[in-house]
Parts: sequence; structure tokens; C-alpha cells
Amino acid sequence: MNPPGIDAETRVDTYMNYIFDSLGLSVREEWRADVTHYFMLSARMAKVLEAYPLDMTEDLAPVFCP
Amino acid sequence: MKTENDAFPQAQEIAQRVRSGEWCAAEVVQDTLRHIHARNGEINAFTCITEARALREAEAVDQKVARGEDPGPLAGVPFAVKNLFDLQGEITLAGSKINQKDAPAVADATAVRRLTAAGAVMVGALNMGEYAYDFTGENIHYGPSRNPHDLSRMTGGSSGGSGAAVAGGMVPIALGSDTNGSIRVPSSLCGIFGLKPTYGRLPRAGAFPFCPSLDHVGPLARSVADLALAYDAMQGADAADPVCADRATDLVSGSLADGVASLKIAIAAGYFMQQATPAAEQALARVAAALNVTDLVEIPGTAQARAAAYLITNAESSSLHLDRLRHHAADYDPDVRDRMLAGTLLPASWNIQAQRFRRWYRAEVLKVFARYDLLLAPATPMSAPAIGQRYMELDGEQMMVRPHLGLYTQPLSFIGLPVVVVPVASAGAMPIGVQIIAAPWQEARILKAARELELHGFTSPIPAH
Repeated sequence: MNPPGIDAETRVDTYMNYIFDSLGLSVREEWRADVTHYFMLSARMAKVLEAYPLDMTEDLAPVFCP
Repeated sequence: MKTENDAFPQAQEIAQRVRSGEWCAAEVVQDTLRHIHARNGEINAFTCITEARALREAEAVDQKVARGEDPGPLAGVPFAVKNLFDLQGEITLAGSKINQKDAPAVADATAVRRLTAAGAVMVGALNMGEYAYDFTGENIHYGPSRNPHDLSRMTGGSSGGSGAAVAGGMVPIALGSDTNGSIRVPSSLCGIFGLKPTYGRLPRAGAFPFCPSLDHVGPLARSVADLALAYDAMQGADAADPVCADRATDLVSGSLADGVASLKIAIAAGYFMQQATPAAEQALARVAAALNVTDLVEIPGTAQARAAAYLITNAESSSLHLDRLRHHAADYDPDVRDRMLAGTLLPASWNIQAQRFRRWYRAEVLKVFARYDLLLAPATPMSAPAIGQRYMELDGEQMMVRPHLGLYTQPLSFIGLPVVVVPVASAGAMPIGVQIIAAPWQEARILKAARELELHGFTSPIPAH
């Protein structure tokens, strides 16, 4: 559960900090607004995708063939 | 060399005249180089002109003709390539500043090598959106490529220099790459023909990758015959590209005139009819009328297909660029860098769901192609926006130009379908393209339909300047 008083923007910012740190990426403060904008665009695309639920029993994932 | 009507000659005519000895390849190439030097300042299509190489290759073609040897089906035809293709001895920029520090390529990309083996003459490398993550043709490092129909307007991208060089008559054939629409968007905005073949049909070895599970290469030209000549010359398996299919070549140049009477064609409805401007709607209607097409067919899940393509592109490209982002983030075009940084944040579940949807969507589309041979759809929602334009309004909604100009192309490359863009010109207006789409490996069908439309007047005249 998120602590009270933390808004969505702060949560995205915290998430970005964790990911960028773990990947060794150094992201300047002035880039963050556009990065956030593009991330939110991807999030909207993910919502569009999830609006068409696939049958989870169906094997649609790419299959590795040795 | 000019033809009788003073138009810049197309590849088919150059090859015929050079092969017969009527024209000299060296003179064709010298004319081409003069034209490139004269026009490139305003169009900004070329980032590198390989003059010495071009003259050397043209001389070799002329020597073959003099010796009575076959100089190849593209003898003496000048061509240029998006600067993500390796050219021996040149640095492969891929539209970036970062790659300027790379060593020169030790060999040509396979596609370049095959065109050269067919007698074509390499004249240079072309401007592009940085690392191909672009639909506009703009580039912060090298400047925007400019649309020959109106220099204040975009070429479309990311193969912007390829579109501009062909539309401006600088070369009859150019190569581009298409991950989500990067051949088809500039073909539409520049008013030329462009072919994105089936995924795996043409070899990508030596082409700087963007999103390997979606990357294609293909030609742009001002006539269907030229498109087919280039396409035929590049076909064939290539062990250097694991995606390139081990299939027999399916040469199309000899069957372009077969017509489309036996083909069942429909207009892609639903998603492909939303968000189009009147220019795109009218272009589609004119093409449909010329082919006597009235059937409408809706492919379910196309908005989701586009979303899935967007997510896969974002995730895959940022993974490919992770090390560059660690060490050179400040040297990227900010629009590219910020999208790629955003891509590093994507949860794995989004990417996996997108891949699962890919297989589902492919199955749905193949059901449609069991009923129809070809589908028609707009190539872009609008004609060329102004250079620097950040937003466009579609169906009353403001959206960014750069990620959205390919909203009709993206769902089709997502499942690797072959598509040709046919130019639609209107007096006093910018050109715009229409996509002709077929089932996988059916390039011959789309090119026959494109040829039929060309005979109906859907051509690509060079704009006066």
C-alpha cells in the first residue's frame, strides 16, 4: 500500500529512480518531464492492449524451439 | 541524361539504354552527381555522396558492356541508401551523432551488395531520423530532410532522405528501412512508390537495427517497374540475417502487367477509417474507384495491434540502446533519447502481452486474407505536416506528430505483411499515399495492383522547382 499523501506523479518519479539506478542510467532532471510523458503514452498503449483480453489458456507466447 | 520529355529517367529506362550501349553509365552517374550537388543544399537528402565509388562502379559497368558481358538488370542505375546501411569504407551513422565515432564499415550491407552486383551504382548515403525512431524525417544533428513538393514540409520518416532523394529526382531508386512505417510514411508524404516486403523476405544484414523483431528493408522509387527491379535484385536467402527466409526467389518484374481482374480486393474499414483527414479519405476513395472496389472488411483488434507494436518497439529499441544510453545519453536527439529512456521503464508483462497479441492478430488477419487477396488502407492520416510541427489534430484530438504519423502503417508491419504505397496526387495539394496490403509472401499481387493504378494515372511526377 502506498503511504498516504503520495500522488501518482511522485510514484512514477520514485519508480523511475529505482529503474534508472538499477540499470545504471543517469537521467538529467530536465529530461524527466518528457520521459514521463512518453512513459505515460506507453501506459496508455498498454491499457488499449489490455482492453482486448486474450484467453489466458491459449498458447500465444513466442515458443523457443531448440 | 534526360528523356525526351525532359523528365529525369527512371531505372528501367537507364538500364535498358546502358545495356544496349546507347547510354554510357559514367555519363548517367555524372549527370546524377551534378543534380545531387545542385539540389541537396535545399532538400538535405544526402549526408554522404560517394562520388569516387560511383564513378568507379559506373566505369566497371561500361567496361562490361564494351566487352559484351551482361552488366546486370540494373546496369548503370544510380541508387542511394538510408545511412543505416553499411557502405564499405564509410561510417554507418544511422542518423546519429554517437555513431560518428564508429569505425568505417568493412563491407557493404547485403542489400547494397546485391544491387551493385545487378549493375546499380551507389551514389551516397541518405539522411534519416535518428536510429530510425521517427516518422517525421527531422534530425537534430543533420537537419531535416525537406519535401521536394514543398520545402517547408516534412518528408516523413524515418527514411526521410530516401523519400526526398527519389521524389526530387536525385536518384531513381533508394533503399529505406521500415519497422513501423518508415518506408511507407515518407512514400506517402513525398508522393512516391514504396515497398515494405514481407518480414524476412529481404536481407537486413549490415543494416543498423532498430527493433529486430519488426525491422524490414525495402526500396522506394517513382515507378512500379523500378520498385520491382530493385526488389527482384535483392531477393534470396542470406545466412548473415537469421530472419531472412530460406525461400525461393519470387521474381515479379515480368508479371506486373498481369492485371488484377482475378483478385478479390476490399477496403480495410473500422480502425483504418478513423482519424483520417479528408485528404486521406479522398485518396483512398480514388484508388478504390480505380480498382472498382466497394467491399469493406474490418480486422478486429487493429487498435490493439498498433498499441502492441508501439510497446514492442519501445521495449526492444531501448534494450538495444541500453549501453549507449548509459554512456552517451546527452548526445541523442532528445525526442529519441526520452522515448528510449521511457522504454527502459516498461514492465515485462506489457511486452509479453504485446507478443502474445501479435500471434492472435496474425491469425485474425489471415482469416481476412482467406476471403480477400488484397486490402486497401490509407498510408498516413494526413499529407505532409510543416517541418517543426509537433502536434496534429485528428478527429478533434490533439496528438503528437512524431509517434502517431504512422498509426495506419504500424499494425501491418507488426505482423510482417507485404505492403506497397501508391502515390495519389491532386492539383494544388500535397501528395498522399494509399497502402495496398496482401497476405505474407504475396508481394507479386500488391505490385500488380500498384502497376494497374499507375496505368490509371497514379504516378509520381517530379515537382517543378
